Amino acid sequence: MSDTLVTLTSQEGKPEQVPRRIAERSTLLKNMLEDVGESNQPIPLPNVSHKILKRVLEYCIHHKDDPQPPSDDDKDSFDSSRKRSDDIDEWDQKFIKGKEEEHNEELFQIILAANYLDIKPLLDLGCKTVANMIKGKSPEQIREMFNIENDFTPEEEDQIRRENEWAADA
Amino acid sequence: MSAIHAPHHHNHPHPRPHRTLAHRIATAVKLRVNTEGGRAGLSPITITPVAGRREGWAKSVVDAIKELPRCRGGRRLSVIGEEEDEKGGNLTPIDAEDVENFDPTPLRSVKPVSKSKLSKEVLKPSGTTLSSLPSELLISIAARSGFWASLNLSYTSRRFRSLLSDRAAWREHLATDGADELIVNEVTITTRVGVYDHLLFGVWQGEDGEKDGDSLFFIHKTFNDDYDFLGGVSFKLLKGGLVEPSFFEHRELLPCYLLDLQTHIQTGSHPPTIHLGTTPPSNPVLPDPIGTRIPHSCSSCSHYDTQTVQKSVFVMNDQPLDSQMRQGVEWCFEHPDGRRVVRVRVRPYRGMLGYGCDGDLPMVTVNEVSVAERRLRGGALDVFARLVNGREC
Repeated sequence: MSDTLVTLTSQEGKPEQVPRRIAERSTLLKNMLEDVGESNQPIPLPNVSHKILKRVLEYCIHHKDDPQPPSDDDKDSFDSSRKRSDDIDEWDQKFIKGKEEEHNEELFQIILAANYLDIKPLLDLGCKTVANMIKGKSPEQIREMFNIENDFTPEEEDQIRRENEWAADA
Repeated sequence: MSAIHAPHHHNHPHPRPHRTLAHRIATAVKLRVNTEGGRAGLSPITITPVAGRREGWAKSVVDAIKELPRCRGGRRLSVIGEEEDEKGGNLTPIDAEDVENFDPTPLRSVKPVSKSKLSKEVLKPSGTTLSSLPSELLISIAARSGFWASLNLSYTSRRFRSLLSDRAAWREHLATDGADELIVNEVTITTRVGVYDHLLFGVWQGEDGEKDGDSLFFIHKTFNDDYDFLGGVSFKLLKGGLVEPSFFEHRELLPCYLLDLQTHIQTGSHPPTIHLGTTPPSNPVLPDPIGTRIPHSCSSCSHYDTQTVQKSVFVMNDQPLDSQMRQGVEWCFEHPDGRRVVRVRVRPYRGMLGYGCDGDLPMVTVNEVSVAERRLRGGALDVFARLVNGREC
């Protein structure tokens, strides 16, 4: 049964066929397929573009033999290093890096897709990568890196500066 | 759409052309407005979002204009891209005067943009950005980035500031598998230390059990068979990493123990206390604890049974040199989660000649708290205490 092909339809309506075993790396798809049973109907994924779907499937194919992460109820028994941001596998690092010019946008889209499809390891990878990008950066550098608009009033900025003056002495 | 009248220009002292009115709205809300076709005063207005503005903006303008109280006449309003309603396509007709009197101020962006250099350089974000991620993902990212990075993230914009000003956003920091930053507390206890004293350090459940975190203790004992307890300090190590010191009483001074002792004496199972007479008894009804020891344990003092000594120092044996004792005795506790460390140092009090401050002893000082080898101060300490640990500092 796990060798059967499943058709996933991206946001643009483009179909993508994958073995069921690969699709089941996503908890969302796994549950859907279990509920539906044997069916040739394509599964629409309106929140995932074709480009990102292909990237997500690339990740799922590479990690097809990994043990399934436990459910939320079982979270405590899972490897506690999952949340540590300094233990990213080499292949994962290359994968998440993607193309330099569209790195950030693609990264956030992968995070959103992983969240939507409920692929915990991929979501962790994305969050860890962003966390590592933030680490050691000043607020100005974070703004610049992620294109965040500074919408503080001058008074609020003054207050933050005062808070930081003390912290900066450390 | 029953009442569409020509505008009452004759009532208005300075009638303005429609384009002016339309453009006045346009200027206020940064939209492009075109008037086209129809009779004078009844031409439809089409609101087109200017490049980079979303259609929602245009709709909000239309919605706001719908709220205008009078609709004596007017023109048709529609938003490009919006389907016309089922009644024939027009939105609420509006009067030209109403439009002219329309105060666009509430629709203006109220965000006072910072004048800092960086903010001017920031382009309007397009597509998926960090800020566009759902809050729960941002919180997850912040937790993985650690305390200092989260703090800096909260300084980048109002959204992040507001998001990370909520204690719930820091919950993942409390999880043992959350951020991997080392939190170190340094505590000093200053007290009078004699040569025959015992200094004991260890872990216990503390008076409140393990609800908020683990507890550590320091007990100061002296060489006295009858009554050896001089004082105890308990440190609650919060899940967020801060320690909260407090003093605790010797078990033999607790009301439950004294009542039990009294019962033992009254029933004859324990000899009455022999008061030495040097000082008046502290309580004429209850016996003084001097010289009396009974095995006692009850629900209110059972936490004393959980004390596990990890370091014991007999001053005469372990600190023979006066110079060494000046440095004090240090005990370092590392929590099994690998994230929290408490260093407790007991220093002997040395006062100035002729000046005694025995009443102030022992004195407990939390000298320093550091996260990821960086000392917490000012606003950072406040955030760490308030949001991560749920305590006022």
